[in-house]
Amino acid sequence: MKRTFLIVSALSLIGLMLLSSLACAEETPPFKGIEITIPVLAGPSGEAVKKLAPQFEAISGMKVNIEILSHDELWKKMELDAAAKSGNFDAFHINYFKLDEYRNSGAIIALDDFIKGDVSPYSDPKWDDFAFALLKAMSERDGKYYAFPHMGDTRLLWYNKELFAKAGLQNPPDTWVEFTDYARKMTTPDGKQYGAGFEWQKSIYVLDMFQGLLLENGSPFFDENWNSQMNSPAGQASLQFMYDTLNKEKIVPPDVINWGHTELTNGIVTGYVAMADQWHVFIPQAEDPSSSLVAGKLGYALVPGIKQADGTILRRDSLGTWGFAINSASKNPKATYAFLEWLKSPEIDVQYALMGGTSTRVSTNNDPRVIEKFSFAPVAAKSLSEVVMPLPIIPNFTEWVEAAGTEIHKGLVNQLSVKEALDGATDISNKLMEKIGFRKVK
Amino acid sequence: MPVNKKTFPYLLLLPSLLLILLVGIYPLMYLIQNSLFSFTLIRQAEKVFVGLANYRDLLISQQFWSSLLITVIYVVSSTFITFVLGLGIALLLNQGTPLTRVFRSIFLMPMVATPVIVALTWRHIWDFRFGIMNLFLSKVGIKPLLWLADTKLALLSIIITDVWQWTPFVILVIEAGLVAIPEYLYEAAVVDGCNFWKRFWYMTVPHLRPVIGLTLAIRVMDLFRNADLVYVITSGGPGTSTEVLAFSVFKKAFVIFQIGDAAATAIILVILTTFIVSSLIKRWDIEF
Repeated sequence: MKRTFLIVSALSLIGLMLLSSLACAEETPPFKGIEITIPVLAGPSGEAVKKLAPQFEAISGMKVNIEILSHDELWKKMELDAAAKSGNFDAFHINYFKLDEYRNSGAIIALDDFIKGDVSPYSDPKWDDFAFALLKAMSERDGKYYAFPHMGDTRLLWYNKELFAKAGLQNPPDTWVEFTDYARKMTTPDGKQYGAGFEWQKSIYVLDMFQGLLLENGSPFFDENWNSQMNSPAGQASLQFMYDTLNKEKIVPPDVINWGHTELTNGIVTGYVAMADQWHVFIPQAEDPSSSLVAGKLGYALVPGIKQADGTILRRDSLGTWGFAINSASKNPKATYAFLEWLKSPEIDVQYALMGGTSTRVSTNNDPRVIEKFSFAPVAAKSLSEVVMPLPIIPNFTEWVEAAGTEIHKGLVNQLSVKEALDGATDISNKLMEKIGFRKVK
Repeated sequence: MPVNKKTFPYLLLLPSLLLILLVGIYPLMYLIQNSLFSFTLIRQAEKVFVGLANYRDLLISQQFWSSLLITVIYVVSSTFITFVLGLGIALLLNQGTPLTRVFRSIFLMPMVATPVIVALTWRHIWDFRFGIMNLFLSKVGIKPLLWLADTKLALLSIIITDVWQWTPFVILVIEAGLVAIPEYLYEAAVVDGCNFWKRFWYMTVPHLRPVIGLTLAIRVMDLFRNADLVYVITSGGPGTSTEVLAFSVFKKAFVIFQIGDAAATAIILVILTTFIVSSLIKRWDIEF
């Protein structure tokens, strides 16, 4: 009896030990010992990713290096990495108009095998929760996904409620006509305060604004045969509006043609401009009392539009979205996918948004916690789903933006007349579309 | 193995020749090769041989000729102003006043600053709203100017910035040349009744001739390849009013990543600079 008891006890003990060792094996993180490096564009979104990465390191055992880089530095490093196929970066942080170039050159891989293979034990990606326009522009090509939409930026109309009240204004303008009228009321003759501000630096900055107006005036950049529509009546009306705003109405600072993100944000946070057509990614900076004189005094609305024949207001603006795509030269693509999927999972995305990152998920932008902290979130979500449109997605995007955006700029700064600038932009655009075989010469 | 007396000097030259080949000739050949292809940095696998098409496209593009004109204005103005100022200040410093050393140190400061820091600092100085240049103007009752936002002023702002940074270089080189002129020549000239201008024109200038030529050659080379000031201060704008050729090369190579096109522009820039600098060297009897 005693012997049987001893045997049973010994066997039970062995069994227990085996079970516990199995349990231990299950708990061993699958990516332990792996190290990945991911570049991220500098800014609140990049900072949020850096802050979140240690959470993933703790559950996965993986080492995640987040390299925050300025815009120019980011592109230079990524282009060299992609060209040399060195695999220094495991993922690329690219914007939607670079996706095709990276995809066509084989610098990035499709995510579908990973999605189907369910490689990550940490999350469910919920792809249908990404804002449709963002997913289309940033990831989906030929029925496959190539990137996780990461930053979803839209421009909103920022307006200084205190200056509005002083001018006897209450609600933000709905149309550009109202906008001009309001801006006149808030522009002082001594040049110390202007009614409005824009980022009208050359190339993509000025083109973003021009596209919004062009679409509101009833025309896209190109027709179905890739003929440029920039010098169409819609184009003329759009650039003329910008020209008049700067040179005739004088309701914007005269150096606004050199303004980019930083200058425009500085303009509004110092009370120099009363309204700004600015990206919502910079709102946390404007609401931070340590860096803003107008924290708590700003309101956010959809950008103004143009009243249509049926009385509705058509509002259009350009989309800004960045995403993470996996480097085809990465030595750890599965591990990289696992991290990105975790990073963009709904719950982590809410944390990311609460840290000031701009989300691409519908659920995040409507999450009560996010709305409580950032009152502008529902307006941004509405703009992302109803207002924004991507710039033309073409293989030689950068070349086109640089050339066409410079021509438009020449019209704004009086280097050329509005018509000459638009004719120049049209000519350049047509030639570039011919070069890539999109436009056929008759 | 005994070394032949004839071959020995060549053997000694070999390391230097190899180095020049590696860091000078090979990159130049590679640049010429790239200029005959059409490709972007990321899509090198799709490199297409286009022969001289990049050069043809460049020479028929209006932007190229506009950039060339801007470059010529920039190079000529900046070289002329830095030279005149540098020569004048060097002559003053050469008088040997007790404060010469102090002034020399002060004048040399801009030259030792990092070019990008200089550019960033001056971008703030030219700023329409916060810049000290407009602050000074407002103190004397002049309305603020759009230094960097007016197509007529932007290039001038860049020229002034360059003059501020590189006049010290001219001072330094000319002063070294002045020190080398024997003092007794001036003493003899004074005895012979020569006034200041005659001494300057018939003695100082001929003695400084190689130094002046060298200074001008270095300045011209420097200005032709200068893209950093333009990049930081105006990025070639407003419009294309400050887009010098060197910046155009930078933009094509590192913004648009059109390597073939950038290489062709760079080659033309190299040819142009070499031609002008060779002419200067010949004209001013510079001996190396």
